[in-house]
Amino acid sequence: MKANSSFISNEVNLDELARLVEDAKNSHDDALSKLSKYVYGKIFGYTYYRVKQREDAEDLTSEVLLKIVRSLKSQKGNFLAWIYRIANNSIIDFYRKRARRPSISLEEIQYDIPAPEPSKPVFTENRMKEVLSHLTQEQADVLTLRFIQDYNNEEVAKIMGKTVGAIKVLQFRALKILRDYFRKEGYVTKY
Amino acid sequence: MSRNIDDLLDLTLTEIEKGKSIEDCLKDYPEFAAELEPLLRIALEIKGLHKPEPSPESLDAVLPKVRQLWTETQQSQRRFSLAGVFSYRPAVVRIAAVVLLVVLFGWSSIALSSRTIPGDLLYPVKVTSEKVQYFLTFNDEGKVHRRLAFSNKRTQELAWSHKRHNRLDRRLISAMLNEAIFALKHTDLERIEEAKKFVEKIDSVTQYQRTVLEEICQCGCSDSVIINQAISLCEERHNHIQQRLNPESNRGYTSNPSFLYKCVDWK
Repeated sequence: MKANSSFISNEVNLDELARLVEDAKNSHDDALSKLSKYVYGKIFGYTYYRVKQREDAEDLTSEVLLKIVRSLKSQKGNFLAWIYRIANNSIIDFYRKRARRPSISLEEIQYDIPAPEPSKPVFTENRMKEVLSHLTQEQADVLTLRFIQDYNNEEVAKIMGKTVGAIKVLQFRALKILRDYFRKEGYVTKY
Repeated sequence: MSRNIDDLLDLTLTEIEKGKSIEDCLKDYPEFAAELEPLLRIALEIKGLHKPEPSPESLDAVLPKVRQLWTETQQSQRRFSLAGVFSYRPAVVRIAAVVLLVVLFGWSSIALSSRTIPGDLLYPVKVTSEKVQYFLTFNDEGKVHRRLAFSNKRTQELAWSHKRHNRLDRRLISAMLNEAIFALKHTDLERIEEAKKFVEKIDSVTQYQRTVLEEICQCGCSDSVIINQAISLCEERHNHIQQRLNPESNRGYTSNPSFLYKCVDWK
């Protein structure tokens, strides 16, 4: 079961995914392997902008994948919604555990944001990570799923268990908060 | 207004994703351009960010764990499914216990009711179980057997009832004779060779009924008119059957089918 990184970025449509999940549940080794790689890629993309270190994102993703495999047989309903819910809960647990440690707290987590230079893009990975922490969980989820993971509104609505209208509202509010944040910080004048 | 701009933002984002420029999109909605523009630019900047992919090494490290965990999960679920029916599902056990109790109660009631006579507490159970048995019998042969068995039971009950109360139960004597008639009606006497074994059985039941009736009569029965009529009916049936079975030796006998097949209703 050697990892094939190219598979990770390959898109699987919802019908293929449903078939893959059913095959994996029926103990087809190949399907389980493919599903694991697919899930690993998706969850890594989701956790990457939610934690500071890449290693933390990889550890979290591995943890989420194992949780998914442990409960796969009993999984019902929308598979994507289910895996993102598990990932979201794991991120919350991750920060809760960090907050309990005396040496590191949520407030102390600093992002290495370089000083803005007019010639370079204002949005860096670290800045994205920082600005997401200023949003509510749902707003951050919408931006991550919609613009990083490239799901359309209908898919985001299904994953989050909300209506398309509610997703549009969350999307608008999240972008507005980011605009206000950049304006307040003063280092991005074009917004 | 707020609601409109949610939709407009989404609409313009979709158009930009399809290849339209921000400027062209904003021209279509000039009154919202000032508010939409920064939001669209932020959205596009986020979309333009690097799409993170995990390192192949991290994936290689987790896949063996996935396989091992899957195998363990499968094994534990198999163990659970074998032992789980009774140890983890008390509702199943309760239902099974209730069903078992109902079956045991029903079976013991039927067994206890087998020697009851009219007036006893469990006699309705006996009659009901007979009706169920008859209802669940689908072929004519089986129905004849059932009717003869019921007729025999009524004959026994008649004897027990007379012994216990020293009086003739007219309903029982009617039921006894009628069950034999029903058995006879299920038998095709025109095809006597095929029906011979049934007809012989009916005849032997009729003979048994006549014997019991004569014993009751000898013990001194106050209802002599009914009992004599019943004995005559049994004789008539016996003769009729014998004539059918052996037409040569009973040439002089002429039967009256309307009398033979008529149900009695003595109350």
